[in-house]
Amino acid sequence: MKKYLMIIRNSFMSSIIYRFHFFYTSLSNVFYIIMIYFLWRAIYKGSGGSINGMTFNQTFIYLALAISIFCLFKTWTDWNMSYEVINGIIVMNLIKPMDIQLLAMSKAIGFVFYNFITVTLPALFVIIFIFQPGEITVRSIILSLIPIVLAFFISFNIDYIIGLTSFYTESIWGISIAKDTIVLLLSGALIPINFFPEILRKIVGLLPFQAIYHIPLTILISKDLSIYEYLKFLGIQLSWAIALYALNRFYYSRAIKVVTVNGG
Amino acid sequence: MTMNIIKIENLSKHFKILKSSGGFIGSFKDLFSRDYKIIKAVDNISFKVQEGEIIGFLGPNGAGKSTTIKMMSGVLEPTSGSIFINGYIPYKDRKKYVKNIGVVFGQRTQLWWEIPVIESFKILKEIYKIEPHIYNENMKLFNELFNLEALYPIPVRKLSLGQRMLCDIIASFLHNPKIIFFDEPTIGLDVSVKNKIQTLIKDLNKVKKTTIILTSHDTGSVEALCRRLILIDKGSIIYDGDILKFNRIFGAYRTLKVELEHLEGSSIEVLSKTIGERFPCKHPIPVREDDDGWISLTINQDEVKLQNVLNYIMKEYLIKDLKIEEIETEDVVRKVYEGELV
Repeated sequence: MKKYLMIIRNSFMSSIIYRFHFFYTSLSNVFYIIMIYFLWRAIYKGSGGSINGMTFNQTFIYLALAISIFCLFKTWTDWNMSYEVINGIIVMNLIKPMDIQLLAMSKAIGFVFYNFITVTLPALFVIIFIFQPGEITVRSIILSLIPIVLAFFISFNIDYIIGLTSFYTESIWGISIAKDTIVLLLSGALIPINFFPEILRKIVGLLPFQAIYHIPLTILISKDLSIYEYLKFLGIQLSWAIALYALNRFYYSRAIKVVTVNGG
Repeated sequence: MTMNIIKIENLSKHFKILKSSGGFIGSFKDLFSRDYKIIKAVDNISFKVQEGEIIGFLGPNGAGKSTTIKMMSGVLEPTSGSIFINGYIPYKDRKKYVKNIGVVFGQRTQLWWEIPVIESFKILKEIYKIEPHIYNENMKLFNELFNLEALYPIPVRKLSLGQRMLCDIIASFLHNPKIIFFDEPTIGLDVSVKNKIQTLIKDLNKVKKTTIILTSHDTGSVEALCRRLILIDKGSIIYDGDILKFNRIFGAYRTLKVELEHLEGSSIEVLSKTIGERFPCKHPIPVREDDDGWISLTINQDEVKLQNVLNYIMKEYLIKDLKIEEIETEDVVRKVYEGELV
């Protein structure tokens, strides 16, 4: 266990080395949040208060937080795995007494800490102190902590499926871009799920993506969430987390047999 | 009594590779091609290794050395054959098996690129669950032998290739593995660093009794380190035996390389013919033009004095530049096929 903690620590230390990268990523997300503020204010101007049962404030907070979580979970796991396969670096992981999935997850967690400091913290600062939403309470923040951890686990496992695919295909450029788009759209991170047509909402309900953004965000911006609903949300997340983890265990046992180690 | 720590029987690894049609249009065709060919990277090899041995795998580029190492280190699953190392079948019990081995690939590093060297050592300590007293003992030993402390606070990406290699090698000894695989540990290094690395491997083998398997494509580094040599070409073992015997035969060989002024296309054949006539040997001295314009002659000094050949060339031609090197692996392989090492 301690070795994975060391990996998390080293992964964080490695990512924080590049100073300019640090400062620019901090800024870029804040600009994005300012942009969606003006975009959605324009959309709401002609609507008289509420669209699809969501006020401007709710929509804006929802989307600003969604993109902050998206950036928080953006750990490039799939890209790194594909890079390691293409360049043959994967061999350095395989010669270590370590579990490949836990190793990838430890690296991802280290990167999440980095993302938290560079992206999520400034964004939260802007959202809470500049826009001062009444929807977020201490209670809702505490309740959303476990769902956010589970959301990360689901998000990581989806990335890891794509990463394992690179054992077969080496490059995953197209697949990964498609995954990002599908996840952003179907998880409600670009447009709140409440805005979707009924039929699409039903389909999305059956997919794991909404468990990454929609569930923790709903918990975070709901002032009066019942315990029953909260547990239902947790149940959905937990099921997806276990299902995807099991799928990956199986997928790995197949993929490791075909991996070729490129170069020298 | 010594025991065989490595037992390999009839081991093969075949790769399925998409045939490339070549060219711009061809690369589009390849998108839909199902035209595969089978490459026999390793083809039915068998050998045994005893504990504490240093074994050199010698072979030209693409001979199958790295693939063999990757199968022995549990990374690749063999297509057929059996492999049994230190009580494990490497690819089956990968996680348990690799605890007791070390692997160094000359082209890659196991150190963390962005952070200081010492941090990588600390993480290896956790990964291999090295006891603190063993870790400290080893660090002390490395300092006594090689004095690399000055490198520890430097981030790995700022080290030179030679420095990085030294650190990578001592890192592989950190957890007292029973076997270490070195894949081309001295590739791309200059002579002085090469010597330093060879001493390092030799000393650590002596102190720790580690079994060492080393691959190389140049004869010098294998000769310097190993007592036993396995010569591999096109996926098969073509010689497995004492390095002394090998040295007795190939130690006398030198490759004379000359760059000549005003040499026209046909005169290489003339040169080859006259040299053959003037200096008769069991196998005529091969005269070859390399891609870069150098002409190389592989000379057995037991039969012909290199000096005489050089004198002759100097008399007949204008020499722009010359160098004398040890015999190239490709030539060794050719000579073995010609039956010189049986």
